[in-house]
Amino acid sequence: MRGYIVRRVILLIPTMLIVTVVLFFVIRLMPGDVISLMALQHTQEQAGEMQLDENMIREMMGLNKPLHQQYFDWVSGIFLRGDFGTSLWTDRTLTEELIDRIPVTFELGLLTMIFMNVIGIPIGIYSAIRQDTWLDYVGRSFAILSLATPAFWLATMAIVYGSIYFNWSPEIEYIRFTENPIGNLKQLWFPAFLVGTAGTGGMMRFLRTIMLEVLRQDYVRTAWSKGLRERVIVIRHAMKNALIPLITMFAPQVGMLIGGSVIMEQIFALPGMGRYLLETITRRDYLLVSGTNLIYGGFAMLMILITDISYAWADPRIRYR
Amino acid sequence: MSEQVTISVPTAEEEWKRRSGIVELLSRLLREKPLGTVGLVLVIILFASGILADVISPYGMNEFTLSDRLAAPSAKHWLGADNVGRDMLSRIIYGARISMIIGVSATALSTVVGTALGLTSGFIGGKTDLFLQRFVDAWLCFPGLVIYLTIMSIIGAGMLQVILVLGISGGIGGSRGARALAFWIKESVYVEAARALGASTGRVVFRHLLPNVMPMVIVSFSMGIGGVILAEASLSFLGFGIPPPQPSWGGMLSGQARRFMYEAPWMALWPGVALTLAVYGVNMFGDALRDLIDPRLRGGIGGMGAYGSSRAEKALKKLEARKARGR
Repeated sequence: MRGYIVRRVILLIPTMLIVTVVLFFVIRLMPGDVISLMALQHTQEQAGEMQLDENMIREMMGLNKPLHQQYFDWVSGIFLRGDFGTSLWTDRTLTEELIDRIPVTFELGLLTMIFMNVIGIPIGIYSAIRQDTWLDYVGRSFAILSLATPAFWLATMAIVYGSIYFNWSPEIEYIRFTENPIGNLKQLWFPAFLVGTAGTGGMMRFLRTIMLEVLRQDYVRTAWSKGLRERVIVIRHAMKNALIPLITMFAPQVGMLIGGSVIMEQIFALPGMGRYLLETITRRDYLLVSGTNLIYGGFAMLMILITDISYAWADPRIRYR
Repeated sequence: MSEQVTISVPTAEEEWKRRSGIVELLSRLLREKPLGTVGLVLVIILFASGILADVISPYGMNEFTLSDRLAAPSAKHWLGADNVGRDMLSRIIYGARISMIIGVSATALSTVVGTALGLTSGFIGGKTDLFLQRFVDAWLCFPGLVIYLTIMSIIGAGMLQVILVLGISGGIGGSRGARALAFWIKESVYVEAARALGASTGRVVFRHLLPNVMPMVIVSFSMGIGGVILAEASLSFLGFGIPPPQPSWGGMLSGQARRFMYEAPWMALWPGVALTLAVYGVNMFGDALRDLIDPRLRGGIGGMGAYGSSRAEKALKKLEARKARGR
């Protein structure tokens, strides 16, 4: 087991290296007119203060250096000095911004994950143990619909119809958890619930398929013939084994949560990382965009690693290769 | 027809051709898969609206009558009108065209890219495979929407750009399933037999490998469209997909329109209903098609498909375990 973990961590290094190369080329090889767009946007928005022309932007981004030098500077800045880049617009470094913003996105993601599992696991299991009853059909239809319904539409509908019929609208001002935990949860549970419901369908179907497979295993039949109660069979024998493959859903879920958080933070005006990414992209602050992307990528990579290791740990049949 | 007795043992291709007889497939769909049939009907409506938009929509896609601003649903505007007096129904119908074009072409591109990349990687194996897979791993680390947004902001909004970004990126993710399948098939008896008979690599790939991968390709194609339509809608919603006056369903829910939705809630309702029905239809049809064409593929995660077909991956894992024992 330890050997497996060490090997996986070592394999991360080339992957991380390729991630930085991919990101570097995606962002630095932008067409030349993007720079002039940046300069144009800069003059429009910050007319009074320091003006940046195209050459100054090139210099600040280090675009006048040879390509390999640029890459080396960027990577060494991040990994040696922890310097993810400074905004061309506000003088704030990415690290400063992220310290403020990551907790918001993290909390939203955590709540979403709770909703996703609390809704998905019971329905998935119930659908399997009562296969082909009307409740199974209801559960499955819900799963299929949730796969097709975009969360941003649900949010829009909730805001529009909520304001028309119930005179309800989301808070505009963000309430910090440290200042007012209840107000903060009141504000965050709804977007988390929306992404959670929209994302739970895939998991529900996955769990139902696995559970059905497990329920047909010999040891479950043995348990039945021993005269055990259904509750014991389902919880102690079947569920224990059916929940293990669910671990593999963790990494894809995180990817979905991140996408969902970008959209929800925009709709509900939450000052998290996703909103920040959109802000920097809209401002064309590409130094920060590459840093933010790298953090997202590194985080997702870590989650994939955790998923694989916990799966290997939970299922002894898997060979650590 | 059904009484015919075949003497020759059917090859994989013949078997595939027999099963793919469109008429037979369709009749089985109608008989065995009620939800799939509903899906097919929705898909037909989507495609018909997309193709015939110019003929069936009551108004042009950007034709506006200022006096009808925010008009409620009526005989004149069945689904109401938006903040500049454009007919919602017409815009929904033209939106179907955008969703259809992007759904089909981005998925086609991603299927071609994914199959080519996966088969190359899996069939050549060795160092090439190791290198390509590190690249695929790295690409899959980026959460989809985040990297799409970044690339779209650099290359600019537009339909072609959306197709390229969603297609190529989806293909890189989808290549894992094709790779796993290639590994699996490479070890199978009939490929060994063909090799023993002295078949060239090209012959093995085109005569034996591709026909066997085809069912999965068709299935992943039909399963991919829904995800692509949703991804385009999300991008357009955030303002990085199809640029405004074009009636993209996602775009119709964002920007200027949001301020008027409280007065005219039908502006929020219909684009989402259309989106949900379209994705629901495509997914259901894809599901049914998968069950009919190749039931072995059942049990995937569905939706985004970034992690490939779980069955194929399982097969690959088994194979690797067997190899490990052999060593």
